[in-house]
Amino acid sequence: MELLKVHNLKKTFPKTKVTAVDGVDFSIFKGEVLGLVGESGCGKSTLARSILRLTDVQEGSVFYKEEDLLKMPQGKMREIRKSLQVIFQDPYMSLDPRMRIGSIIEEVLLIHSDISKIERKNKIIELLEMVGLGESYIQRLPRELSGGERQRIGIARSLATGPEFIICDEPISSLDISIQAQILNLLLDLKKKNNLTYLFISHDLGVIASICDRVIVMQSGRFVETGSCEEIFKASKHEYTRQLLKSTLICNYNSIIV
Amino acid sequence: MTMLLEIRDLKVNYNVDGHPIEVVRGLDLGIKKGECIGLVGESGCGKTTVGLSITRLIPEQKGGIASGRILLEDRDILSLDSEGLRKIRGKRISYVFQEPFSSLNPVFTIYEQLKEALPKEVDARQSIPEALNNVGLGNIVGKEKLYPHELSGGMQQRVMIAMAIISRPDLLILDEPTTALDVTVQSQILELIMGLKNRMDLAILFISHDLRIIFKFADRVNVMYAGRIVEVGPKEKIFSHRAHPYTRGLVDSIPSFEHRKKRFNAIEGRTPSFSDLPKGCKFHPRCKFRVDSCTGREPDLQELSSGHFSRCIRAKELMSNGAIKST
Amino acid sequence: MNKLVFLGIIIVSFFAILAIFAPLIAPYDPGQIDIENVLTSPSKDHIFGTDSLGRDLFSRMVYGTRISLLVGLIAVGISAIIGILLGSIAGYYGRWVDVVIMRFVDIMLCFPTFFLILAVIALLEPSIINIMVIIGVTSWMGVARLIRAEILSLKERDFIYAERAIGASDARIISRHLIPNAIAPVLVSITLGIAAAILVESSLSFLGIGVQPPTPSWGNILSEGKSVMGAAWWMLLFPGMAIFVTVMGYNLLGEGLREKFLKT
Repeated sequence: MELLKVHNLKKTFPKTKVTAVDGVDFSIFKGEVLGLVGESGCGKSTLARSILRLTDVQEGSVFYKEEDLLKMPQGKMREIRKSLQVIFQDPYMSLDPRMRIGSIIEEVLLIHSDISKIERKNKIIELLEMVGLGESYIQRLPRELSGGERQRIGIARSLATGPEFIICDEPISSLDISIQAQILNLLLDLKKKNNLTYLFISHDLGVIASICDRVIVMQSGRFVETGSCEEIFKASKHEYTRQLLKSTLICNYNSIIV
Repeated sequence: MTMLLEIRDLKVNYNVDGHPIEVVRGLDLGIKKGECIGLVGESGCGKTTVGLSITRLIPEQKGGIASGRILLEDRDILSLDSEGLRKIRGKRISYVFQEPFSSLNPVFTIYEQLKEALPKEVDARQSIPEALNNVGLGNIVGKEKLYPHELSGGMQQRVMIAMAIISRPDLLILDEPTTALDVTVQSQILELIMGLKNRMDLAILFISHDLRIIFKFADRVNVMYAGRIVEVGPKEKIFSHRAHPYTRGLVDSIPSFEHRKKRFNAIEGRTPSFSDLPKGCKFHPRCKFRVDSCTGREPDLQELSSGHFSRCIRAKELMSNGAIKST
Repeated sequence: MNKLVFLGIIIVSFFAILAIFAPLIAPYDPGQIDIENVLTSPSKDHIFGTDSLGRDLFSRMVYGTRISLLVGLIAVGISAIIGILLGSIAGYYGRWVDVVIMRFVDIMLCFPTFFLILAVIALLEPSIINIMVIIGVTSWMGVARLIRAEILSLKERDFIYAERAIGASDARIISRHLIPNAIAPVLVSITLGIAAAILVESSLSFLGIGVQPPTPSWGNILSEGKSVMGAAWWMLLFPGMAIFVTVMGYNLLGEGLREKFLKT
């Protein structure tokens, strides 16, 4: 079942005149992990923000449940945001440095629900436990936490409204290897438990290979190849994809990637 | 092969809020001529500190070397005066750091900076083009007025490498040299470095958190945790035996195609802070294989086979693949 | 903490206490006229002496502190509100909104502020409220620029995108997330602004178009002192010193805050 359908999306930055996303088309199916891989500057993060209408788009449509997100009135968009969430790359920048953890998560509940203060507190504790943390984190500030802990808070925040789709924008790139594995485990567990669909963005082919069902390869604002994980890693067709794979192999011992 | 650099029982402190905290807690490391040694560990383990300490680059207000010896072919670097140090830094031991853009001075041209890296007696007009050609930057030979911001990240890093090798050092210390670069550029730079190593018979100390790269390029691998080496040996042995639970956990955390859709055997918990280290083995709170005696005394490195050491008391059991049950 | 900053805090607190507890501290009623003791030099009864109507100078100075601080705080409060509002809207929305607001800032900056204030006061009557408002309305531009600059860089940070992603409204993002994180340099500007406002009020009062007697203000006391310069040095020294010390105190505090924020 098609969850999201993106049609001819184009985004240009007005000041630098750079076309970050140059007319892309794709669909995301319910229950899958769709990987989006490309080098820095290829436009993958811009694409993510464009899909969720976090930045202006010049052309194109994003269809969710038959409606175009990009043409929706603000009020309706706010409602829809409950179902479509995002986790950002830099755990140090994605939380308001002046807010306590409890307030950061509570804010989502305040915007979208009418539940009482006690119910909110219970929900916050429930969310913290879902990501492997506990009640003791409520009063703490972001700067007191490690990268892995902050990223878990980011994940907890994105789950607060019970979404069905989450864009993971390089969620583990800034973390140490052992923590990366923890967070990947967490994302996989949450996907199973909450029936989630992911758009997983990364520049790391090894990570993409280990959790994605389908993969899109992006370069300079365009998609160069799409296919199942098997197809991309074992039988890639496009020159750029092969170049990426080759470079990754050069950097990897014992063909660890493939 | 003779021993080029030997670090013996190095202890380094950092000043945190006025108190010294031990960040490198008794480290031994040896590099032979022409060898590539990997030093791998996650952020906060002290690996960058080790690299900086070799030529005493840590600023005095931040901290300093408390004890130990660093022998460059039998001369102790720690006992050199500033004149002696200057003869080594950039001449016999050079560095390449992670962020080329912050390491290059934005107001000087590339040529000016390369010239600075040369010893006075050497002729710049010949050495600079030679160095640039050596790093694959033949296309900017002659362009003396180029500034760092006019180059791409990959090219800047090549300039850093040129500056590091221009005086033909014995040892090149690389600290995350490619982490900030795209993967295609990364592979080019790494191939470049290995080519230079072979042509110039350079010894390399490769410091990184990226296991995949370390395993690919290093001959011997040192795994560092909480300020000490926990396992060291030839890379094949480290990779296949994984005679320390931390090494095992790290290798099990590497994502790959074969690992598709399976949960990782991730290491739980987080790295301890240096001001609050656990008793005994520093890894034991996170270790799946711990037993009671792990909380007693911090184990020493024990030799498992020629050149392969581990700081785990259950190392020999761990090495017999899978025969050991986690507790 | 820096010794000078500490000094600044002491000075500011000292005058604040004087202002708040004026009725308890002043030994005489500042309006009490005593023809027999006109222009007496400082003595046991009148530690700062008396003015040309026999009023106790010390008491008038203490009450004058109230005026100075009141004008300083409220004028700066008004300028801060205007500046933060306009600056954050310009910074957040960008494009034509930013252009319009910044051109307005440029226009305002073209006016020599003090003369603008003089002109307006000349047209309206010199009441305390008018003075506070006019100072406030002509000194918000620096704050606006500062906030706009901070917000321009902050709004690209991931946590702001995260707020949008969870559905926060623009107003919420600006008021709860952007302004609190952008406020640091503005606090410095505000502190220094209080010093400037006090100077402006004193100058206006000195020229006779600020606070009108019999309400005591350091400025108008100084003005009175000018006309009796030879005869009563205390009428010049004490108000002059008070203005000098207060302004210095706020400046020290402002500089100290600036250094503290630069470090973080």
